[in-house]
Amino acid sequence: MQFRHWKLGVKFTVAVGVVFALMAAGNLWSMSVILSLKSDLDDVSRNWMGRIIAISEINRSTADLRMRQLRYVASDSLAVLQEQGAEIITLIDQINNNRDTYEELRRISTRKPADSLYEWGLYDAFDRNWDAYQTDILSVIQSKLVGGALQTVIIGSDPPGDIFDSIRVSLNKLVEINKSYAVKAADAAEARLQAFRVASEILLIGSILMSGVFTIVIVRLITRPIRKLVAAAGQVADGELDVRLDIDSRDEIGNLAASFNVMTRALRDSRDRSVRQSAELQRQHSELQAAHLGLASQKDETDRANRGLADALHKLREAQEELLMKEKTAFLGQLVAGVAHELNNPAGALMSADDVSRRILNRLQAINAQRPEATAEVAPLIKSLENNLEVSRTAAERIRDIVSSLRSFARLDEAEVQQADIHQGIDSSIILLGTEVPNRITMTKNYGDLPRITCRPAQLNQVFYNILRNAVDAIEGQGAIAISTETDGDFALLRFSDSGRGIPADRLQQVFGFTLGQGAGRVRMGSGLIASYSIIQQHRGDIAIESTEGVGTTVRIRLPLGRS
Amino acid sequence: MRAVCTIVLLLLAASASAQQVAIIANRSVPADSLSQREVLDIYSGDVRTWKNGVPVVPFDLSQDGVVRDTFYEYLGKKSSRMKSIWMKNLLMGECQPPRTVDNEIKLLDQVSATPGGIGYLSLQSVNDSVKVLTVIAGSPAPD
Repeated sequence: MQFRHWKLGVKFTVAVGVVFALMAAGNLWSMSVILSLKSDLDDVSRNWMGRIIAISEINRSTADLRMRQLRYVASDSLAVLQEQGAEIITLIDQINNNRDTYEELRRISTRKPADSLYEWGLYDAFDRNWDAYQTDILSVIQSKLVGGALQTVIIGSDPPGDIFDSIRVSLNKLVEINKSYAVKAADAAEARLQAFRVASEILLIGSILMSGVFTIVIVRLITRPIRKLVAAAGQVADGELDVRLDIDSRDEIGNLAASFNVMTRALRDSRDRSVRQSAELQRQHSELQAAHLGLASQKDETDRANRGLADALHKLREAQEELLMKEKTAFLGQLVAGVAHELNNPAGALMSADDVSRRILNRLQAINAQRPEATAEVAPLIKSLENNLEVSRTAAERIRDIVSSLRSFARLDEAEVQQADIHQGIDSSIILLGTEVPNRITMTKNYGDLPRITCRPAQLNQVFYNILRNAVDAIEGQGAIAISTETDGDFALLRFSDSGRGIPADRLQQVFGFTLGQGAGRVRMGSGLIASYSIIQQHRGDIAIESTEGVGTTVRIRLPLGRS
Repeated sequence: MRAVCTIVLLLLAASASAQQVAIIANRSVPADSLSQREVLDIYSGDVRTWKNGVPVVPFDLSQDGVVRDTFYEYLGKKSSRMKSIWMKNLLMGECQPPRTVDNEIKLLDQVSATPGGIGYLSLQSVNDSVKVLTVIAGSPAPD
């Protein structure tokens, strides 16, 4: 796997590891050199010097031994013998110890100098000579003390002496050669040390440089991408979303860069989405505005419709009331017609009975004239009868008039539009007012030359009745009502004036509304005037009221004649 | 091929001349074999009597040679070292060094004649007058 894809931790570890490894290698090398130097010096001190010392000691000891042996041989007392013998033993021990040392040093020495065979030859020669020398000394010593008695031993030729000299020569040569080895080793150590010092310095400088280089490389490997990242982040912060990092590495920084790119792309997408959404919102806003305007106009329409509905409702209510009124009227009409019809028969019966009674009266009067003797008794009876007949006749005529008025008033069979005589209607209304009219109220009629008017007579009669009823109720005690009619172009003008208490100005506004009227002792709904207003309206006419409190009220009606 | 044959012959010759040394003892000696340690003790003067109380009398060859070298190699000590030991024993009055004889025939005579005697010589020199305690297979003779 390529270096640049290693994780940061790995990179650091590797870099540091390499540096440390180099340093460690340098250290190890130094240490190995030092150890070599130490071994060299050891060699010099312990090995070569040791050997030199050992051999020198053997040399000295053997020399001393030779002297002791001669003394031993020449001694003439057991004490001396023993003394010298003891010394000899000591010396032998020393010699053998030094031999051991030397041989051990040889054994453990890993050096193989070129002339080590020569050295071994020298030592071997020493060993053989030493062996021969000891053989001789042994026999001499044996012959000195025989059976516990001192013997005098004459030394003639001194083979031991010759051997001894050879020994010394070998030993000296051994010393020399070991000295030369020591010098060589010391020189080698010196050279090694020098070389080491130089190499060490080079290594130190080299490792410093290398550490520096490594550090710079590594830092740059890290900081360069990071700088790129920071720059890119800055650009994104400024709003440039088209940035793309190209850090081709799979370590943490590479991953960061990849994430950065992903994030930037996401930001770009998001921004684009936002732009689109904003445009969309803008469009929707415009649509909403248009819709709002549409709704506003719809609202206006709806308001209009509502108003229309309210009007319609109002009209419906009016129509409802009208219908109610009509129903009431119809019912009343039917009732009245029924009553009138019923009354007709008895009224007719009365009239005919009256007729008969009159004839009888005439007969009686004729008879009375023929019998003057009974006149004093009969004449008052006939007079009384005449009077009663008059009363009943008047009453019957009244009944007949009322019935007739009722019928003409109701005019149920005449509910449709027709040509009618207004005056007739007014008259029948007057009759229905009752006896109050002639008693306390003076009725003045001033009829003009009205033709028959196209109208609904029953309804108009209702109007006239209502007006006259109100006029009568408004008059307390004595009073007058004046009715006048005339034509005015295509219209008929009707005027009803009374001298009643009048209507207060504030109530005049509501008079065609639903108000409580105050008749003399009676409480009546003013809805009659609503119906009147409605009826006149239907006839395409006008109705107006003028009133002065305490003076009187005048109702003016204008009706189209219906001529066409 | 000729070189190989020559080398093989030389090796055979070398092995043939490998000296076999026998450690012999007087027939009365109450031992039929000895370990190397025991032989060393005897020749160092540490063991001075046999089991039957007869004093040990070791013999040594005076002439340098393969037999001598083989024996001392077997003992594990150089002859000069042994001589030091003998000298110390002698001076301290402990015991006498082994008796030295000139040649193998004399040694054979001496050992067979000395009760408690023990010595060494080349195997081919051995005869029935003595008993063989150990046979040392020596190293080939140096050139």
